[in-house]
Amino acid sequence: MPANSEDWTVIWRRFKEGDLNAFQLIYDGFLSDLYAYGAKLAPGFELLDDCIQELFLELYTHRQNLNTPDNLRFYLLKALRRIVFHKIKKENRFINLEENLTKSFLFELELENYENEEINSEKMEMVKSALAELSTAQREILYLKFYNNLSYSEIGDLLGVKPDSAKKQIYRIVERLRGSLSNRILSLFTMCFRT
Amino acid sequence: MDNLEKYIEDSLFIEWVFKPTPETDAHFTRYMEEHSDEKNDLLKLRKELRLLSFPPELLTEERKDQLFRTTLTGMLQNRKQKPTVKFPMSLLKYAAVAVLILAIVAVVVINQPFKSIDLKLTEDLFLKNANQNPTLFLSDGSRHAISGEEVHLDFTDPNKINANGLIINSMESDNGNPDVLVVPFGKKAKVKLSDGSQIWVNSGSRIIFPKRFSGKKREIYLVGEAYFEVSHDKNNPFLVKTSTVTIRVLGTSFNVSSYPDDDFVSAVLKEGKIRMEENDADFFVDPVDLLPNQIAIFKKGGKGIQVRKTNSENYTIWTDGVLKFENEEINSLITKVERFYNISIELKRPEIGRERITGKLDLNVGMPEVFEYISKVSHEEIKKINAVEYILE
Repeated sequence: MPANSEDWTVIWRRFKEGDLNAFQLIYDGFLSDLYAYGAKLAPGFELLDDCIQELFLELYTHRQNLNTPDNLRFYLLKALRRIVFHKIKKENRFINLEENLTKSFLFELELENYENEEINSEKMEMVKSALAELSTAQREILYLKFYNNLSYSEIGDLLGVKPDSAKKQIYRIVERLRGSLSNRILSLFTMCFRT
Repeated sequence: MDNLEKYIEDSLFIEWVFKPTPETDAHFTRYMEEHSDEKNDLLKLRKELRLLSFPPELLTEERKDQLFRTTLTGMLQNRKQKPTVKFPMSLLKYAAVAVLILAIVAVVVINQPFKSIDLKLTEDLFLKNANQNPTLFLSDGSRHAISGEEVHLDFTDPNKINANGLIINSMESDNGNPDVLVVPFGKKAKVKLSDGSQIWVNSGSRIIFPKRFSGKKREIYLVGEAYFEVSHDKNNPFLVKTSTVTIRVLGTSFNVSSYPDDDFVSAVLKEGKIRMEENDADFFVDPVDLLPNQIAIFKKGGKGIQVRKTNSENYTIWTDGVLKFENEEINSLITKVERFYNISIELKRPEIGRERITGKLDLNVGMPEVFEYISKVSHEEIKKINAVEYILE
């Protein structure tokens, strides 16, 4: 499975020409990540399968009219996002029709309890509470950056924020994360000085 | 950590932290051997970042196959129209299953409001319409030709339609089918819809619209050109659908040109806000929002929608019978004159058509003067061949 953009370009071109093998490669290559993203965008959404199906169906049906994207992953994630919101809007009549498509819907983030000798449960709680304070948009930014390796401008495009803002948020969160972990050492340190 | 940014911006590092593979593991093991001073930092940061774990979705192989099968089913249905698609042998195993599933799986069809109208039928209606006058085809099957220099239709009264003073009683039991207004070449019409929105329909155009807007959307279908003044209704967006693009509106004034024989579709915004999106591939292409005095041009068969600044007056002044153009091809001017008079003007030397001109032409002054103007700007003469054919040479 090609990791970088250049290799996908060749497969994409063959797909546009109608090559079903190329289509299957694309499907196999991105299904898990698309599914994971969709499940976070709309947890428990029973129409997620339909959305995925529709994405690939639309992709195939309109293949001749499609551009060749610079980043195929970004292209597909963005299309899925649109389809998910489109379907949600149709299901839920109370959502304002002019709702900004770039608002994150729901974005659950769970902490994995890594068996980590240096991080005890107290610290884990601190990290958990720090992360719980994050907005859904901030969680989505983290997810897109770390689990999909999207650039700041791609993240900005998806969420409707400035790339710089996305970057600042990432660093703020990371610093906060690392800060919560070393807090104990700092407070111990200051305690020493007080006595 | 001094190098924090260096690591976080390294996509390979991010992959190694969150989605490690044997290749990335090997790469970083090597790197840490070569840069032992960074080793601690790297490992520490990785541990910290890994706390941010999003639980992976459980997608079994079975699920994957099933999803692919149902997608394939959908594709097979479409395939009937595309016999040239190569169908590799490896997928035939899915095909067999898909055919079986076809009988069982219900295909979800997105409900499209205009599905019930046969748009081909309205195409035929237009062609067979020998009538020189704007004609209203009502949902009850009746047709009404309306004569007059300028035709004004008023649908604001729920019980009747006012057509240039002629009152047409509209059926109370609306069967849900829309009405169609056909404006032939050489004529123009103005329609006031049930919500108060006004549409100026240009020559050689037709609009399909419901007598009353119900539900959450106000949708009309346009072939040709029309200028819209849409009454503001925040909860009911107004949609102008053409064969290739859809223009989404809140409350605003704008012009849409979508003639079948043009190779482009354009929308010009005078005031308010509109959004243009492609009908096909709309999940893959960004829609375009327009600000006042901007024009959006969609080239048929091209890639995406282009936006540029313009003087919206140039595109809306036709409602007064005037043409204004800035650096426009003579071809474009001639096409507009042809539509206005319902004639055809052939160019002996096609290259003349590609020359560009700037100016203003009042079509109300009459054909002779209009022809004089065209002769002046093209340095050619317009000669009459018969009642409807002319030649520029």
